[in-house]
Amino acid sequence: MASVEMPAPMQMPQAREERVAAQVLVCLGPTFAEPGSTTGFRVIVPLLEALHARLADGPNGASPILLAHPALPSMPEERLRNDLVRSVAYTPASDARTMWLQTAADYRVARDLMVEHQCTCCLMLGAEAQDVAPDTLLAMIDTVLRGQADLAVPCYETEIDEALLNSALIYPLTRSIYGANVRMPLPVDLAMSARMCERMGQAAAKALPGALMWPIAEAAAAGFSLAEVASARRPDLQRGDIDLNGIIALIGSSIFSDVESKAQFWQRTRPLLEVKHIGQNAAITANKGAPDKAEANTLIDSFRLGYGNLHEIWALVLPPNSLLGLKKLSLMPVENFRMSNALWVRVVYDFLLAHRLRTINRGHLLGALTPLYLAWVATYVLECDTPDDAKKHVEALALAFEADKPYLVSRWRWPDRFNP
Amino acid sequence: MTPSTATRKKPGSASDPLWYKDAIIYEVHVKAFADSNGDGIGDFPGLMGKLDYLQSLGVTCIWLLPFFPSPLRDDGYDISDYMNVNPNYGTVADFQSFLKEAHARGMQVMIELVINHTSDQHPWFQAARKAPKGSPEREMYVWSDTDKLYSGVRIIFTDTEKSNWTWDDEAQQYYWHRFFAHQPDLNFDNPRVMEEVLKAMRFWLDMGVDGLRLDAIPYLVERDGTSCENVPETHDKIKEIRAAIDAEYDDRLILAEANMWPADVRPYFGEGDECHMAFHFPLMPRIYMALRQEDRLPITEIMAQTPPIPENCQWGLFLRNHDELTLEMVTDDERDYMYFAYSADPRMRINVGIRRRLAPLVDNNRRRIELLNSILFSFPGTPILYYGDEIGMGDNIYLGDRNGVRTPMQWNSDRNAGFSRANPQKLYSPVIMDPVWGYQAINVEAQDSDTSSLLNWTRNMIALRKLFQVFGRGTLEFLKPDNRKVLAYLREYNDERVVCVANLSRFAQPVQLDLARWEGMVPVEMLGYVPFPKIGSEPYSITLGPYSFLWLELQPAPRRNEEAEAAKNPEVMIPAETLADVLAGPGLELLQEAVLPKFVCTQRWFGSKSRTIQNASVYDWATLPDVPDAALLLVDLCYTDGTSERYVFPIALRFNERNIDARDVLVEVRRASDAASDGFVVDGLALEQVRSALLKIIRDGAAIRTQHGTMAGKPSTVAIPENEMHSERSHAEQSNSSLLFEDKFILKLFRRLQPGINPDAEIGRFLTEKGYTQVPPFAGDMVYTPADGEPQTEPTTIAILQGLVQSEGDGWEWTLRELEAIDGEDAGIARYMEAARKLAQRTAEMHAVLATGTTPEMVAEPMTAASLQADAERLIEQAESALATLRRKLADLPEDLGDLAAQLLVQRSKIREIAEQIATVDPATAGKRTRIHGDYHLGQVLRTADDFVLLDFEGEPAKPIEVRREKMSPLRDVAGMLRSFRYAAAAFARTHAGVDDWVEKWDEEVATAFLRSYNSVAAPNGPEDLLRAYLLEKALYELQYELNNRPGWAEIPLRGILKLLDEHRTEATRANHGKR
Repeated sequence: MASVEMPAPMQMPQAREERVAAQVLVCLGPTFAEPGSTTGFRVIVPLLEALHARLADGPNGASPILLAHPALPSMPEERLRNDLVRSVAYTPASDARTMWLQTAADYRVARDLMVEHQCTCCLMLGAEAQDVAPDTLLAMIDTVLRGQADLAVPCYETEIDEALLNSALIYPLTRSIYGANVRMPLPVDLAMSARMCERMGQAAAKALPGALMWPIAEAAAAGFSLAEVASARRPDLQRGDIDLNGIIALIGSSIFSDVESKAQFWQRTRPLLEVKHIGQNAAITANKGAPDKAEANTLIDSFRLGYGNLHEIWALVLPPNSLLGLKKLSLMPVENFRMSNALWVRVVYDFLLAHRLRTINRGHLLGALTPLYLAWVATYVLECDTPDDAKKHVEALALAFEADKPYLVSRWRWPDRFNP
Repeated sequence: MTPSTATRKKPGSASDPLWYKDAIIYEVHVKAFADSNGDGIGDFPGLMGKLDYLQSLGVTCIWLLPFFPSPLRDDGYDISDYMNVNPNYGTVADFQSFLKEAHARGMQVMIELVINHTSDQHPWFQAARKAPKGSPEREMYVWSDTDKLYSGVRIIFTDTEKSNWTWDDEAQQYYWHRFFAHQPDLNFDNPRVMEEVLKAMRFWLDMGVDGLRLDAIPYLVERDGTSCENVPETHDKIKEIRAAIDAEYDDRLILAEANMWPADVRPYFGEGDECHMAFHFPLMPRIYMALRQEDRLPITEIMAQTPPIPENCQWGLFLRNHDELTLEMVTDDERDYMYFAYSADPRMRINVGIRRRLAPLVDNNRRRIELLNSILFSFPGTPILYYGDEIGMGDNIYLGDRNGVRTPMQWNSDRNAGFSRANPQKLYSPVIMDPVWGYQAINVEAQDSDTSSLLNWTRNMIALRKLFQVFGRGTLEFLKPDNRKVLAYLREYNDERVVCVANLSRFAQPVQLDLARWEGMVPVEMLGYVPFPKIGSEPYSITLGPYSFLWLELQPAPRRNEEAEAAKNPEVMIPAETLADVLAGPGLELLQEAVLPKFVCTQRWFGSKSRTIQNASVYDWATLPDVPDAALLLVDLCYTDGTSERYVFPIALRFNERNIDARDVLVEVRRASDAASDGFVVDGLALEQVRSALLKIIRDGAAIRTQHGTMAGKPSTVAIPENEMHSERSHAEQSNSSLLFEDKFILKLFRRLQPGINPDAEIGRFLTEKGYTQVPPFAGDMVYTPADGEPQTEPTTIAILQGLVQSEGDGWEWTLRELEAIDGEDAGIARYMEAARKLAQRTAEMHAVLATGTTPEMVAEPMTAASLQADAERLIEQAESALATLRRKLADLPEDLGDLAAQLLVQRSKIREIAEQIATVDPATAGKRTRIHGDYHLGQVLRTADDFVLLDFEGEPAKPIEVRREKMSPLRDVAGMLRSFRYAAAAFARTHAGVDDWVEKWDEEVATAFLRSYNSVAAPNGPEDLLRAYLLEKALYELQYELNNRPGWAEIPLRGILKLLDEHRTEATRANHGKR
């Protein structure tokens, strides 16, 4: 494959002569353009070369890779000299560079580049992707290129005390609402078919540039096929200054709004989405040891503080049974402290409904969710000593979400607050 | 259309060309909604301020009554300037702002295009009067020197008009008017009229207006000798308007106001090239008639007279509007009836109708209002709400014309109902003020804050309707239950199916619906998402309260959620000191009502998750010896859809015990004497003591007395150690619970009890006592025997104890591992074939031992013509059931399976052929009937070092015990195993790309090796036809199972069945050739 000069950072579309049909578009997230970075997008080149070599050996034959990387007009022009990988620059949205998750702006860029270069598979990579195992990415690409899935996402191994918002909310809610058992529904790395990319591009066009996107939900609503690739642990993502309240507000608001926008889809009974699971990993590990039980004290204190300050707001949102459960929980000694799955599920569903009905200001609403989430985390810390405990705990929670979905549907349809 | 012209079209605010089909239209008069400037008349800024209200109500399209300059002698339908806004309501700029804000909220806007007539103050008419006869100016209207032209044409406003002609002194001619004399009809025979109409239309459409209501459209063109209604030339004019819209605009709507019979309205849709929508006028009075007569007939009759309309067209439905409840489209008798029923006071009548709002018409009865709205929202068409009806506003029959239903909107209980800050005397119309209907009692603000108000009810109903496109787009089919007080109909659109049932009576009504087509589906009440009993082949019974209605969405029966943790009510708590307290009095009631039904649904061994438990009752129980506060309960679960089932629950009460998994807790218990006590009723199998106690009962042959019988252990000759063995629960079992005692024994507790000796115990004991070594040694069982005098006295196996076999896993797991290792290599395939031969040998040996029984239950019997006939019938029954399921699920199947399914559905006769062939087999050649394994597949054998151990002789757990104990051809087991090889191959191929070719080869070669080896050891068991029939029956069973549980796997049995049918066809052809 001929080497390609990298054009000056500029708006898409790129020069016409660049267009040689590439099968795989590798789209780097905006963080690769961080000003002042000593590494920039070049750090990804070894990974791409590894991918290229494997794709060339694979059953699909030599697959040209087109690297799309962010470039800032303020940065000096940088050229990629590589015999194997062609590249194209794009201008990231100004407010997207500090976001560690893929945003609507990223999906729009990916969609436009896919169309521009007529690629058949788009691999989007988030920050710090240079250390992701090539096997994982290869399996994702391969699944899409073979037409076995429109969307392939990784399931990275996590430590027992990591990704808890995913375990508590994102995963079980996505599984229950859309019937898609994908362990990490908000991927930073993902591979998409052309039609999936188009779908995401269309959805992104309706969203603000910095908005989070929910590819599993989109794929489910479109009836596209899904694959999940087991992978080793992903390097830690730098999340900047955002605190837990901010994360819950950001993700909670986004997922709740997305669920609302797809109500017509998920309120119908549909068969479970089949997810092609590729490879096996431990999913949850305890390389760093079991969670520190002492942490539970702090978490429970935060919950109790929240109970003191926020229970009046909770009373606007939660039905009496849940409020009673929370009152009892606030009085429980640490050694007995357990928030039942049923209670947490109701909390999430009722907050989702309150978000939809705008019962109170949405910002205040999501702020009031944080102490409740901490109560769930405290329970998790107290109950889970081993990865096996954690897996069972999360699975039981997901099943509780599924079992109680009729409650959500019934209240969604008839949001009378006179309920138990 | 060329792309260049397409790009020039002006887009509408909606993105779907058929947006009007899903719309909720809200009809409002600008003057009546909100007054922003305190002049006593509503205006556009006021209306704009209420858009959030309309959005929260769920409205998607606002229909504005005429807001153009007008003398207002017919509420604005007498227009004097088509391209301006009445200054009372604001300016064109105000309208544009309103339009923009409505679009920003996702709402479309429809306005009036009143083109049949103008006001007599319109400059065109004033010019026409003065212009010479025959001049273009004069010809803008319809003139005549005589009032005899068009004689016989009916007068519409009979109360005020005596003729359709009025003499004009200035013009010295009569002018034609179908409505008031001050509304001269435009002359559409003059091309200039159409030009002017299109000009006005473009003026508003260019601005972004989404829809136009064409007022009084049947009267556009007059022809002598006709009724001057619906004449062909009128349709030409409408087509001309539509063509102009289609050529220049996207996603716009024209709606016909044609107060005609449905058959007469139908031409206004043309072939989809005239109006997009038309009002269904005759339906409205008939809904009221049906309600008053408590008889659905008026509705079903008018719908029967309603012809189909083009795909892109839609009916507009309404309960009330700004005019009188028109009675033109009813018979004389019906009209009289309606007058008597709904307008006792003559002031309520006007023209040919009744000038009242919805709520007063039904005597302000909330249930009647809701019922009528439920029909409005669920009938085929787009619902149109009249402003104020969402809060049940009243009317004022003492105002003239139809002004009584056009009073100011009631926003709150402040002055002028919050409509205006003006002096009350300045209002364009007095607000409603009487004690029942007055704005102090009925207003938006009050109802907004009342979650049970009509406003909130309407809001919820609209939101619900919008979730389902079936209401706007689906077909309609009336169900015809015997009880005519009940209106029932089915709406269908793609895979959405909704049954609507409405009780038109003021009393509760029973009804039976014929829903047999949907047998197996579950109606889910849509408002509360409540599942109703599953539909069976019998008529579906429903009881409806007075004026109540149900919307039932037909859903597939829920999948079995093996480990679903139902949302437990965390607050249920039983006060008790001992387990005996729990099992008596209020504790028992709570256990039965609130605890057991929920707990059982969370258990993976519970096989009836798709059924609805009506109640649970503890039938019998016994405390376990030597274990404090532990008992075995026998619980009867009654379901809403038929027969009950009995389950066994070992439970125990424990206080202050920390090591209890929350999933094992049935309910919290608190000691009355100690409010801080922390107790639980738990699943007894979670406790080591309970597990050991069950083993000891069998080992010691102990008998324990229950309330109504005994439970007794019965050991076999296999020795069980006296010392305590550590035990744990196995996680492998699904439909039962298994306990492992070190590596020595496994105790299987049958959760669902069926009267009779369990075949697993019966055959296990038989084979062990016969010395057959390739089964786990049977060590004993526990049997429940009801006391004499109990309704059912048959002994029932509760548990069995077997020796534990060390193995490499079950045959299924082992086979998948082997396939992984084989990886297409011939040597690997050969290795597996060797194992398959061994398995076949063990299978044949097992069958041989089973054929040596001497007791009536076990003795082998010859195959007879009757038993072959029974086999044939069983196959046909299985085929009917599986194919019915397939037909029902066809729409839900992945696209690539659709073709396969279709191929199968057309071959039903082939299956019958195969079944009939069994019946013709010579019984003498068909082998013997013996006890068999009954549910034989790879998961039922264990792979040991170089051999197999055969397990689990329980048969198919879903079948009754007497069926499982029947004697059958051993070839059924052979068929089961052959299908299992196929399943293993397919399951492997699903997760491994590129293996299809060699896996298929593996399957064929292994199946052949198994069969040959079996036949070489076993006694002759019958011809190949018999085996094929059993294979087919098994595959059909698999198909039904997969369709109901894992539709994505249905491909495996589908392909299997088609292959078997193909083989049958080939053989039949060969046989026919042979005959020739």
